Amino acid sequence: MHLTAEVREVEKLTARVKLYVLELKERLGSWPGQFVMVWLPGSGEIPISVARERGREIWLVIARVGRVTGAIHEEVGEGARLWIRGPYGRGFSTSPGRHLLVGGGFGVAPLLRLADELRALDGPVEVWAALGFKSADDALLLEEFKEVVDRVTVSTDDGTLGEKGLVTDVVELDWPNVVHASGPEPMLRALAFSCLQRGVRLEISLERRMRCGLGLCGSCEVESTGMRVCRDGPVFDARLLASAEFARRSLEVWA
Amino acid sequence: MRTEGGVGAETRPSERSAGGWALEVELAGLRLANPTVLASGVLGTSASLLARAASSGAGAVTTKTLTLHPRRGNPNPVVVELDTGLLNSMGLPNPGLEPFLPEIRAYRSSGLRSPLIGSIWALNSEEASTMASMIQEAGANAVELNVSCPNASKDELDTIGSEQLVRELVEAVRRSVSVPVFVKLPPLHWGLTKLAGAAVDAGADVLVATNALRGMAIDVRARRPILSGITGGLSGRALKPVALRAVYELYGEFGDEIQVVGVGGVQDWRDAVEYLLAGASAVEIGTALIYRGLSVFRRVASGIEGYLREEGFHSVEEIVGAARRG
Ligand SMILES: Cc1cc2nc3c(=O)[nH]c(=O)nc-3n(C[C@H](O)[C@H](O)[C@H](O)COP(=O)(O)OP(=O)(O)OC[C@H]3O[C@@H](n4cnc5c(N)ncnc54)[C@H](O)[C@@H]3O)c2cc1C
Ligand SMILES: Cc1cc2nc3c(=O)[nH]c(=O)nc-3n(C[C@H](O)[C@H](O)[C@H](O)COP(=O)(O)O)c2cc1C
Repeated sequence: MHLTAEVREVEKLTARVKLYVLELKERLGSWPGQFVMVWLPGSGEIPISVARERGREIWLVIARVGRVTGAIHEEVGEGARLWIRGPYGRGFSTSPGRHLLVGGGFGVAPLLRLADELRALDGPVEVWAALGFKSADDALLLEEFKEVVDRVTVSTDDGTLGEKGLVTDVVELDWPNVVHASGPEPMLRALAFSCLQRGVRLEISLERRMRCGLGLCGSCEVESTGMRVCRDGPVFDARLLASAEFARRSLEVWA
Repeated sequence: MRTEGGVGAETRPSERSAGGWALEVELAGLRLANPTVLASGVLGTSASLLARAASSGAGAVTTKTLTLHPRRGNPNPVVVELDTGLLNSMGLPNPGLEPFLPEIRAYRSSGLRSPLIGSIWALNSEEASTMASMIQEAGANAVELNVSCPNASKDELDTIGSEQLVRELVEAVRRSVSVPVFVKLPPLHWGLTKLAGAAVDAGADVLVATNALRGMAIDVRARRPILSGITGGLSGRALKPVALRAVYELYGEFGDEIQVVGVGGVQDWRDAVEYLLAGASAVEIGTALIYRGLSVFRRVASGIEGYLREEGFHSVEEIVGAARRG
């Protein structure tokens, strides 16, 4: 059954993206990288990553791309309700060391949850974030990242904010013990290529059309790998996908 | 009517475990390394997922039910998790039979030994016959005719619940293929034995009992049904006693002529053994994958083996229907 959540706050982060701060009756207990299924009655149900969890409060960063996200943007204001189930999936690994978080667009959301968790770890942890956006107007959550990570670098495709270029062209891959990435798939592919070449551990968060969210229906399989985004992911070790169709397609892109 | 293995059926010597307890079963001429089967609609949507279930220990795997033409299925929400089981209203989403055939071929050439059961949904004999021959041609080791999808439209359900139609469909499939024909039945139907009888008369080799029950859930805060399809199929724990009864009755009625497969709420070896004792030759597993993951097949199989050993049996066959013999 779904949990009923009260919408405490709605903030417009960019023209397309809103932050929803929800309050639950009890703690959700999510792991960084996990997602919830969000149901808006009368409209539909979609997977959304948990961007932050504090006590009974969770943050969801929702980009308007279609029917259900559009309805949420239009209809759900402060004081309204959303219904959620979860948390689901396997998230990012967290252990002391040097972590580089690479995010693209609204894909940065689950990395904030990860940054929070890494910050709270015992032991020596250093966290850098490299966040890429199309343009200055698309940048989001920068202040939040700056509060919890040791260094934030921003890049934009058009150079209107931070360095000009793709985030994958500006990242420093010699420094980290592990790279965690979330964002558009071409970005993830390019990063996978660079990391696998250098032997750097990379965890990537993938998205596919999701239906049951429970690992049964097969809708969110990553093509021909037998891996389900909802249950085996959404976070995968990039090596796991290197042998599969995913990598084959990626190589075609690079060729 | 009992057919021999058919296209590509596995014929290998009986595999006995070190202690001499055989988990292997024979189902209408197909050899299953153990009596657990992946249920239709669960992970059966691609060659790679079917292969994953098989390499996780499923003795046989069933494809998602296929229709002749593509079906989008229902929009989300399509599942509700209950304390007692799961409601789903997927609505038979599938790419249509023809685009799926390469998946069957790919599975069959993967070298995995678990037979593949191709599940189909058809509302007239012509469609049933075309689909069955195409699926056999692609390499399916058996055809499962689903006459019980709880998420079909009301019209479809009214149609498919008729004995006459079931007879026609099974006859059509029987005429079109040499592989075994399975018929998957609904859990509640006042004329269940009549419906099953029609299937048996028409040449079915195996009765699969059962599909999910029709049910629904309402969210009290939203004050509306949760599933977009309003009603859905109830599977898991809550279904078990109902499907178990169906297996017991069907085995009693038709056990001399055909074999029965039990489906509904199997989570551990005890559930599986109950079905075997009621008369099932094998059990299918679906919903339990949520709670037990893919290791459920190996765990149920080794639990059955442990039971056989403890109770002094040497094969699964010995306990099939034992609850009737008392
Ligand atoms: C594990 C996971 C976590 C996610 N986390 C977030 C998040 O934190 N914030 C966020 O804004 N979005 C997130 N998404 C994506 C979000 O679920 C989709 O944008 C949403 O389902 C679109 O629904 P819609 O009805 O608005 O769009 P639709 O009307 O269904 O589709 C609009 C367009 O978006 C495309 N699309 C829809 N769903 C997906 C998808 N899953 N992957 C790729 N393309 C898609 C469609 O092809 C179409 O072009 C996540 C997805 C997954 C699988
Ligand atoms: C998500 C889901 C999808 C299903 N799809 C099908 C299907 O396409 N065809 C079919 O014959 N049965 C389908 N079923 C029913 C199962 O095969 C099985 O009969 C039922 O779930 C009872 O077994 P279980 O309790 O082990 O899940 C589906 C069940 C679930 C949970």
